[in-house]
Amino acid sequence: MNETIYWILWLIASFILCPLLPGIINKVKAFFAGRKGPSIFQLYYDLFKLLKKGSVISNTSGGLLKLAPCVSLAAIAVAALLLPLGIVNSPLSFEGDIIVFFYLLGTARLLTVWGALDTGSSFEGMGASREMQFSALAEAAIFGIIGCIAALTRKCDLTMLPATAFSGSISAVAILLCALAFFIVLLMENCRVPADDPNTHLELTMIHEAMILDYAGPDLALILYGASLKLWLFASFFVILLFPAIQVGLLISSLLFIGGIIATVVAVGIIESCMARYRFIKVPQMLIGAFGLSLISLFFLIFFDGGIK
Amino acid sequence: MFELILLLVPVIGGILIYLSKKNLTAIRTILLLTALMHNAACVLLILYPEWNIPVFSQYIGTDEMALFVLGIMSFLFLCAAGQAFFWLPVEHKHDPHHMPMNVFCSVLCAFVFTMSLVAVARNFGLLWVAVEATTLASAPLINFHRSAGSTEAMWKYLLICSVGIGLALFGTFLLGMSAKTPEGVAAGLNFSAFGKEVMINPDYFKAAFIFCFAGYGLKMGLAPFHTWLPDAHSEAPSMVSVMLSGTLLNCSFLGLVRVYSVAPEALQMFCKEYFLIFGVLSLAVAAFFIIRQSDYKRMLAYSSVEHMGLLAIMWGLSMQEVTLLHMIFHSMCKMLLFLVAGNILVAYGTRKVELVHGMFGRLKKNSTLWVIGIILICGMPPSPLFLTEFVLIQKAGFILGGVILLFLFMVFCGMTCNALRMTMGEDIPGPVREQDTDAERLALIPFFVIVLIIVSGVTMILKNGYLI
Amino acid sequence: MEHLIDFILALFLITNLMMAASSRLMHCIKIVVLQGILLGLLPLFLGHIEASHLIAALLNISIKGIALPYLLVAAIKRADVCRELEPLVGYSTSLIIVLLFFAVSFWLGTKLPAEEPHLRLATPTAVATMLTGLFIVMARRKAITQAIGFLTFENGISLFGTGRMLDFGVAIELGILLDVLVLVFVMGIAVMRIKREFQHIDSDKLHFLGDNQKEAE
Repeated sequence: MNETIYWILWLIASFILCPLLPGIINKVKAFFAGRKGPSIFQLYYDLFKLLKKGSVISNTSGGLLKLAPCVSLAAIAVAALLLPLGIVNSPLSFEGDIIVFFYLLGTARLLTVWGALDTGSSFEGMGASREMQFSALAEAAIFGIIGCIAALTRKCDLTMLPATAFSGSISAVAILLCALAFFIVLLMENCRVPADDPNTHLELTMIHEAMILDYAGPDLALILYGASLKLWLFASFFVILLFPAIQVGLLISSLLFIGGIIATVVAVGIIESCMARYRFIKVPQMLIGAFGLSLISLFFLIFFDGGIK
Repeated sequence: MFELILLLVPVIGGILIYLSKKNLTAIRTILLLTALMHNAACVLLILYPEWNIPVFSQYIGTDEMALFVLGIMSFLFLCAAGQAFFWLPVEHKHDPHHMPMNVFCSVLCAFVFTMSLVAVARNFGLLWVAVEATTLASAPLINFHRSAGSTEAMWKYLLICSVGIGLALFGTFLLGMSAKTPEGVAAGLNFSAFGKEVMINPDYFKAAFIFCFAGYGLKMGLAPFHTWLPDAHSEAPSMVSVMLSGTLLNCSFLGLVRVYSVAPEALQMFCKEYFLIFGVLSLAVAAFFIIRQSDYKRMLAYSSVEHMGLLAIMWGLSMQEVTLLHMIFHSMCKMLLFLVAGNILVAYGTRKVELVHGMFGRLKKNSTLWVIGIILICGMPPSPLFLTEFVLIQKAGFILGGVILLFLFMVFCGMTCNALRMTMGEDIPGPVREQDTDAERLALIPFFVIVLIIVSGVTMILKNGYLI
Repeated sequence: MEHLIDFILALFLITNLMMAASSRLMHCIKIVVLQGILLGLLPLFLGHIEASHLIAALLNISIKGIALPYLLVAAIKRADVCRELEPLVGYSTSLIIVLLFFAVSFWLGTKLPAEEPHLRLATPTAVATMLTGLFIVMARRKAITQAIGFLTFENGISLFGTGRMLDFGVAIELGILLDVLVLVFVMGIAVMRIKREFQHIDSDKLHFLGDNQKEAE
């Protein structure tokens, strides 16, 4: 019971804190560029401002354009209900929920793509096509990772990995490879450099930004908030992959967990400051590389029986 | 001790040659002296083995097979050096854009050093190192003329042979893994480690043999890994072709035989099958490529593929004495032919068969040697190769023998047809040119070789009739 | 210690993936160097450190980590090679093919008789590296990339030998390394000659020689 309350507190904290993460990334980038940079609370200000504004809808649109931001945010929020937060498994979790988790995120993307197509603008159609191409490849890597987790724990659940998984040499290496693969997927799914550049507004290079150009006001606020929540979920999943479930008390584990999330986004920020965006043809290779990494770790686990006995 | 001398002589000779810079006379003389010294050490090793003090016996030493290969190599090196003595100035006169002479000759010495190392190696690791080193030392020699064709041939030779020999290294490691002493410790890679008491894991040994066969077989020019051979052997200057065809292939064959010789009793049939299959395949490939060949040096190169195939078949049928005989006389005949082909190249400046005709009118000595040489290498009776091929077909049985005969006949047709097209017919109009007289002057050493082959052939056929 | 061996082998596999995907010559050379250094480090983690292990590591790192890239870079500079790779097989396809190689070699690895636990990953990794090297030799156009592919291939073989090779003597290993060094030197010269004769180093355009020249003309 105690754990459930703790988990619910964590969930509420996630919904409140997630707009901080883009702020942290921007702060890291500003630090590397030698600037002062915007405040880490900038996204909160933006969301407030946007919520107060009205919006203009394209004439060609059916209802989907209006519907998309709400549904995609809802899908992401439901996915958040399944994730173990702060080292405690979700009370709502069930057998096979890891697949549901990633498919809810997929639904959110699908709605965004539909909304983009609904505007009738060829520019947004282009963005949608790119998004689908890359996410199809990213999906392969995600399923490799799910396979690894299944091979490791013999279950298809979203749970913290047991500490024994890190003691065997092969399974430890496999987990590291998985985490690396997932980090690449994280960069791609959250539109970070080197897959996509969130700052650019050039039609040649945009992926995600191209799809949401027609939104304004509260709709845009929903989309921005959804994106930051998605980043929070991915960062949490990354932390879950690397942190074994050890009993250290709720306070310490909360600190470790939030420290892990912040470290992840700082790493994203560092990569963003050090690397240039890849050329378009390189992005699929990056994703196939991530798939390869997850496949290698799958080989390690299957052929050398690295799973937990 | 003699082995060490054998290895040191070409090294010292090579260094001296390199230091002689542009002094052509010094280069030629030192090369010839090196060859003589190498021969002397070789003769001592063969005739007076009891004088030999073993040094580094873990790594170097000789046995019967090694002495055969060494003897052939040494003799061919002497002949090639003798030919080079006359040929280098001629070449310098007609084509001054070649590689610097001192570099060429010192690399040639390095090549001889690496081949001697192959012959005397007593350790599979060292054997591999030496075989790979032969590739490295011979690749620059192919590019002597610095033409586009020879550059391409050098690159293909380097790349294909290195990859192939890499497979042999993999095989060597597997071989090391396969052998365990009765106590369960790895036996190591010395030949002596593979004694009676060693335990060999048959699966590992099979894998090791296959990889070594692929690697050393590629270096030996067995089909289907022969593609580099015609390019390299035809683009190289003729005295290098002599060394490549007459000795390097034997060295690679030695590598194969070394791996075979440590095979446990039960696996010998398995190994022999490989020798037989790839031997027949090489024979077939060579026959089909010779019969439509328009380049006379490539024709000789394919003839090497053919004879390597014959050697493999002979070894696969466990005719070891015959294999050795065939190896010796193939090397001699091939040396003769490549030297004469080099002379023809000096006179005509082309390797195309259709551009060379009426040679009897212009190059009397060379064309006589050419025709007789072709007949000898095809195994016509005065040739010692007749004897070995005859014994082979007798032993091979009806079907295999028939197949071999058919391919030998195809080779015979292709080679004699080309030889006759080159020697007969109308001469190129015009007076006798300077390069024609030069080419005629270079016929001296091939002449000695041909006498040697015919005399030994006649003696062998008359005296060793019992072999048949 | 065992963690580290497996970790190094996993890094080796990652370098293979990077090799298949990299489009820059210098990047390829860096990857080969990285492989050489990993290879040199490997003997140090075999559990019992002996003088011969140290010598082997030192030799490997100094030759594969310093001398080889120096020679390769010198060849590239002198032959004035363009830095883009121009592959015959696209990068994504290359990656997928390399992944297939991984699958095959791991499958093979389970078929082999059991070995010491710290070497069980070494054989599949070695085979995968060899196959990747051969693939690079075939799928990349430039002569210099073929040399790099060969080096990858050779790294795979050495990886196979590491842990076993040392039983056969440091002298033999030194010989092998020396051969590789001279090979890269000669290949560098060859690349330069090819550039001078053909004004390019595209090995797929080297078809001057052949048996059916008459038909070709």
